[in-house]
Amino acid sequence: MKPRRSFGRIPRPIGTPAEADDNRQDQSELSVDLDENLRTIESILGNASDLAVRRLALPGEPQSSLAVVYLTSLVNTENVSLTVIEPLLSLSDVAYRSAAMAADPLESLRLTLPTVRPISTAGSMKELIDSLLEGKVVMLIDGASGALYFDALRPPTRLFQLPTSETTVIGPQIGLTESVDDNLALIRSRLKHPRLRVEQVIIGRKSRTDVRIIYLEGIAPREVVDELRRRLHEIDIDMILDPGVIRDLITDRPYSPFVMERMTERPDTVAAEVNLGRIALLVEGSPFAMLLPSQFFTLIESAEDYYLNSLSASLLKLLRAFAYILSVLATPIYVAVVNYHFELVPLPLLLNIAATQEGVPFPLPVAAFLTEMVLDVVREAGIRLPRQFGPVVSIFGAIILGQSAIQAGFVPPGLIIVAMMGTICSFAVPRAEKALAYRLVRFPLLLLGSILGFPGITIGSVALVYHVASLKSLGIPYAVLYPPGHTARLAKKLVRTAEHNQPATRPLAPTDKVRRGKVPEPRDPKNGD
Amino acid sequence: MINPRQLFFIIALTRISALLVLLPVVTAGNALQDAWISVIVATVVAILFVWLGAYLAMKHPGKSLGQFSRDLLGKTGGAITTGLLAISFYVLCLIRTRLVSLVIISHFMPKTPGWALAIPVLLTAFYGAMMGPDTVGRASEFLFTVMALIIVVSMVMSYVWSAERVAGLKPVLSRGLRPVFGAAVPAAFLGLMSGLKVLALGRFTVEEHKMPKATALALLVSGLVLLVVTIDVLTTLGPAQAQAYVMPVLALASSVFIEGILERLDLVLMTAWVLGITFDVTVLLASSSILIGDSLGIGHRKVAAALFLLGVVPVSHRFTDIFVMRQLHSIPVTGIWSAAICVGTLAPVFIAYLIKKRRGGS
Repeated sequence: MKPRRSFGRIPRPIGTPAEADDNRQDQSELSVDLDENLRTIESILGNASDLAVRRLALPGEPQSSLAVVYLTSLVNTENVSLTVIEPLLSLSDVAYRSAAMAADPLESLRLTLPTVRPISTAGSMKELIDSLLEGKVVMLIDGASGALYFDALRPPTRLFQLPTSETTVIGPQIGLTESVDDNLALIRSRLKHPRLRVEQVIIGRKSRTDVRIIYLEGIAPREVVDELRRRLHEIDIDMILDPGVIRDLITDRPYSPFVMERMTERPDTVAAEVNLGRIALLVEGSPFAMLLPSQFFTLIESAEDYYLNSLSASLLKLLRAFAYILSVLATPIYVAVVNYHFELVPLPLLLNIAATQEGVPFPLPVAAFLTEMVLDVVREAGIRLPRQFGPVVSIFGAIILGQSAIQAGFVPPGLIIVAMMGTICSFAVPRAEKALAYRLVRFPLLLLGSILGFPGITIGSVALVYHVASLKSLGIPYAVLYPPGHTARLAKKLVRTAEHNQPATRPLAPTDKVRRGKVPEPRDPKNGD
Repeated sequence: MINPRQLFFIIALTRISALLVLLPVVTAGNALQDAWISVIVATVVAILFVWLGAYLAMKHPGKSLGQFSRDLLGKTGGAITTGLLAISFYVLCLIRTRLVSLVIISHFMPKTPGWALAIPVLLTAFYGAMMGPDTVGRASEFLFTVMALIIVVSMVMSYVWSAERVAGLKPVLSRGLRPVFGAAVPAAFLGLMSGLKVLALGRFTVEEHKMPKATALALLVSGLVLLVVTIDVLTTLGPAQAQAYVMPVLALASSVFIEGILERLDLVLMTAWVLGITFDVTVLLASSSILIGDSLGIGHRKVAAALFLLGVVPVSHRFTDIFVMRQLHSIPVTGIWSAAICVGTLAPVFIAYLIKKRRGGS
């Protein structure tokens, strides 16, 4: 396989004082002196206010002490009290000694503690500090050159809410949250299969972000999983806050306006796509899952398609495909027709258009560019503003501004109608994150339509097709209309029949057995036939 | 890699695009009402020769003509046979670029300078060629589907079947076979050049055993489409009108309008044709650069870049009359050209292959 280019990596400064400190910290071993270890921890964490150190005496050994260290902001203190402090205080020296089969006091402690979480051993100060920052409880014993730790993370979380960016009328009304474990539970509850694999990768030198790779073994192509794993392990960055950051680092073509990774905040979508052979990435702190590899036709797919009547779902898909094409081509075609090919339109309509062009100070292409840009600005402002102000901006921008512009004779009404229609059509496409591509693609086509008319739009469209056809998502082609071996794939992309409640073929694992939703033969309950 | 289905789309789309606008006029000019028979003859001849090329490509999987001709004929012989085909592809690429610009200027946008259309077409083709055969293969799926839809709709809208119109095809073979075969030469040449792209693209094709079938099927399907178009032109405009018009298909389409909805069908058809011809130019540039690159041992992207830069001036300089383009598709020019390809490229490579096979080679 061709070595991957190293674009998109965020360069890390080499040789800074902070990095030198990090390196020293990496190399330092834990001391046998408990006090020295505690001083080092406090020093590294800068006497953090949420650093808790609870010193206890080991049972039957008052001269030997134990320290339980954790960050109160991250750890469930009740859990620490129940699983460490109370058992240790109530533990008799006989019980402790009976557990101490080995001479090592750390091993004795590990066997004694009643926590259900696995207890690990840290050998270096770096590992110990990382554990503390990941919400683990660390236990140090005076005289032992190591430490024990276990997970007691209490991540700040919120209640499950509606998926705001992918609302549906019917179907589940629950969205992912910022907790990776809660999200995993939502996915597992929908995909109760033993081959569901969940792998953990920690990314970010400073953020130490918990990232989970979720896939179905045997269905997700192994080489694609391996490639994703490799790319994730190669990321060298200080901080990961969202899958969007990872997307920029692992994408095949970072400078393409087309987003080749699908983001969703619906657990049902994640489960359905993982079942089809895709890989999901969950990132701690983000309510979005990233689905890889993505394909062009997911553009017109909505989560609702699974829950609707088959005919309605198929018609809606066709409608979305039409809306997408219109959203890209409406304004360029209008400009080309009015500027060059006016003989194409019927005479009465042509006369109407000519009348509205009268008195407009700008040439039509300039007016079209300005209108498209203003519409994009209004749309962007409507999204970014607080929810209470969003509609106000939209109404002001779309109605008042548009009406005033027409009345003042700045832009022809026909152009406003067409541009608005294109913008509304772009909202009909379910993938919100892909809307950006439409906006960017419209402008070059508008330019070509303004200069060269229909031939220009056609040549631009061919170039666009080349671009889309050249894209790959994790090495899998992004746009394939007729995948090999599946003659009727296009029809299945657009039409969902009742027999195919599940998509009939897995796009990434075509050899896997197809499980079609079987439709029982209808019988009349009265006659029994 | 491209699959046999994509190879089918590439060859069918490029052949339809190359012939859609020109075919009725180059055939009707000689064969008059028998032009449709010329189309059938041209398709059969093209299939025979192209099958030979596809067979050679199939027997040398993972290699283009540039590579296996060197194995069969030596360095010099390989370079000559490959060079002839590669240069033919390149010259056709430049001719098509000029042709599309001339047609648009003469029919739809008379005030637009020719270079303003020719350069974007060549630039788009260059971009496609740089993206590689995989991209071209996947793009062919989209473009073929779109073009097929537009052509079918246009033909259905423009075609009204009636016994009176069919009478326009009679009398059959009244002037003998000679004009029919003569008219078949340009059509066969253009079909041959479309199909022989398999000698360049075969290197990137998986399931090589399906290549001859996919190639022959592409020529057959495109032949059927072109047959329908020719019959449509002949029965609607008549043989005399068909040869009188520079672009009879566009003339036919411009005579169709649906009142209140669509006034110019020719514009829609022209859009499909521009789409197809831009793709054809891309495949010609890509095939040419693959053959030259493989023959010289250079990456085909570098060759494509060089060919693009070389082609900018010829496609944009001094736009002459469109009739010059028609002369380039005349019987003498295409006849000599076809003979050169068959005798200079196909025959020596095939004979060398047979000799090597008999001696117990690959």
